[in-house]
Amino acid sequence: MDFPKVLRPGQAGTIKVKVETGTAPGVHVKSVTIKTNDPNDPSHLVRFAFDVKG
Amino acid sequence: MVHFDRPEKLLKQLGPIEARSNTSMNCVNEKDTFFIQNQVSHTFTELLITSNLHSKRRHLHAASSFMLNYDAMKRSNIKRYATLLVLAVLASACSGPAENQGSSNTNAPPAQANSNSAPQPQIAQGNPPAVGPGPAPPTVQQIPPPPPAKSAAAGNANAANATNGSAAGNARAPKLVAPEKQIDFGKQPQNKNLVRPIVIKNGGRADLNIESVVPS
Repeated sequence: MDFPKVLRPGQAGTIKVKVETGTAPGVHVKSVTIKTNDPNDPSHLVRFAFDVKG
Repeated sequence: MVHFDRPEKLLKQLGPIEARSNTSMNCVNEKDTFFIQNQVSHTFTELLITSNLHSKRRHLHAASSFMLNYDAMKRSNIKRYATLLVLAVLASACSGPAENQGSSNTNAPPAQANSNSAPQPQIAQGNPPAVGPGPAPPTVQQIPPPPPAKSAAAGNANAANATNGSAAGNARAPKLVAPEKQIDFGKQPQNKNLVRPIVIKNGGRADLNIESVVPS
């Protein structure tokens, strides 16, 4: 996973997330937790949902 | 022996009332004629009245009134002078007590003044202690309460400042802005690698440190 280590005030960045669908058909939900020094939101959770065809 | 041809003329010649009264008495005692006696007494009363009106020698009039020969005078005149005498005596009697009352009043006021002066010092002595300590303690006692309130207010102000400081600190703190919380890839085939960039932004006023990105 690539992500910037520091973002300046007002600066934007991207975190590249890679998800493997696997072989199990059906709906799957994965998540990623982004931990930062933000006092109000130290652990930000982002969900990924996909439906694997069988 | 005295002969009175004209009693009025004789009375004028006699002058003083006292002499006239004596003359009238002599006249009565000698009993020359009742007519003359009556004339003398009558003239005498008239002279007394006129002299009273002109206020000539009041003291002699008063003295002569005691020396009058009442038998030689008409009873009506006697009643007049008797009433006058009574009034004079009453007036003199009243004038005496009035002076005494004045003196008593003069004596009374000092006592009252003393009594008044006495209470005033007492009041004055009572007032200074009462007034001095009275207002002062309340003010002093009232003064202390405000400081606690002020201190409390100051504490509140400090707390507010602290909160403001924290808010300021928060404002100075970094802020993670991640608009997407859930990403739906839809239907995907098996064994496929999905790559999706997540855009994040630092909305704060401090550097945003990204410590880690952990899959779960």
